[in-house]
Amino acid sequence: MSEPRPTLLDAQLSASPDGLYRLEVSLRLPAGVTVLMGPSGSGKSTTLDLLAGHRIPDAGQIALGDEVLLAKQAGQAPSVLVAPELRHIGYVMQQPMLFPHLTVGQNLAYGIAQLPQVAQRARIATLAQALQLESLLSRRPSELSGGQRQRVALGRALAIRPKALLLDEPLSAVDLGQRTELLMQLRTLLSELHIPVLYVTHSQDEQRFWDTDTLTIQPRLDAQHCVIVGKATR
Amino acid sequence: MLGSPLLLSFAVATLATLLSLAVGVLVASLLFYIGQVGSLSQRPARARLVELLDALLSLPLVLPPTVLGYYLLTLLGRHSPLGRAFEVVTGSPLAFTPTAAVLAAMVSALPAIARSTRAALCEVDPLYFRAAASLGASAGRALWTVGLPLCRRQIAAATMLAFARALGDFGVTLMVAGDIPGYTQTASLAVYDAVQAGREHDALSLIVPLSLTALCLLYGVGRLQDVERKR
Repeated sequence: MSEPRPTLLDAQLSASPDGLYRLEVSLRLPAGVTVLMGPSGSGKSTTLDLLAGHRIPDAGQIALGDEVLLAKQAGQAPSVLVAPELRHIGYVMQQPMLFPHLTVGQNLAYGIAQLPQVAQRARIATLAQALQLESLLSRRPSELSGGQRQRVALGRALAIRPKALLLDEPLSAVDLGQRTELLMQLRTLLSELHIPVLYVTHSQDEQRFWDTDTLTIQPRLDAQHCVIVGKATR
Repeated sequence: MLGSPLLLSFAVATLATLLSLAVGVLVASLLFYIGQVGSLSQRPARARLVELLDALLSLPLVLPPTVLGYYLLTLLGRHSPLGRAFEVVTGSPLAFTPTAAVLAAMVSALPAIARSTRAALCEVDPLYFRAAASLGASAGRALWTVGLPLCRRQIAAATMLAFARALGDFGVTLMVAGDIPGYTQTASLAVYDAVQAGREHDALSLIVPLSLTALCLLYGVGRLQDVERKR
């Protein structure tokens, strides 16, 4: 089996979240983890929402591999706009947002319901093993610890075999004691994937752990502008 | 078969509630969906449309039963397209039949369910819908598999209230289904007739079960809301 060709996540965006300040994003992410840092309120989560398609920028474009996900000029309707559910971008939010009425197994299977039962079970088994969730598959999210919930959220996002992955401070809802273990599992899992991963954090420790390219949101002096410019260079 | 007013009332209210549940949840989902799409693409016209539709949906809760009955008669009568179509298909007119009583009971039950369902959907953390979308779920699938299941207690409570309202309808039923003993005379109409004729015993035999049913339903609704609050 040949190695899948790594995709590139490419974005040039200009947005004014809630009309408060201007956010300029210029990203070019190769396969592998890229860390995105910046002070709170500088637009880290907004950047992820823009990439995932939950927000529409004033102007810009997003391309994932050969596919254009968004193209928009200022003051005009987007000429290309792919809906979030069709972007194949995995998104793990600060809060795991597990579906509380479904079991862990059903949460993991949510994005792959269109696959045959056998394929679904096989994929869930692999992920459950990698994330140590095997004994929890029939539990409800309310019966899990913070770390376990975040592992399920991660597994659920990876189950769909996304073409890119956005992680928004994935450790913020996890107890301190469980963070290192989860980071190790994450590194193992992500090293087997050849997709761009944007890892948002404000923790220097997590940044050092990844030991990789870091993009930083730079608030300009007038505090009306926040700029991310980054070409990860691996 | 449905000669007893009480039996007829329960049959009519059950049917009306089930139909209202299906249609009400659908209407609520559509309104919610239109509102969501409107907010993402920043089209305030969509939001205004939803508000207008919502107001229209709430009309039956404030209009006098006579006005509602008039509308329904105009809609279903022998001279209306709908009434004629029904007569052609079934061979009998629609107005002043038990079927009309079901529709009359739906007039109050449907808005109650639709409004509560939409309010509950609006209370669902939008991040759940984002999570579902990031997993590839269409807006419709996210509503059906995440949004509505998360609202199941509120929908159940609204359905019980709707049943109580349907059971208690008087004015609209009188206008469109009439008060034909043994045919369209529901319990609430029979109480009126019995009291007017001085048959107090007959009236009480309907009043007591109607009141007890309503009490049980309201108690159940309270319990459901209690469970929801403690979540």
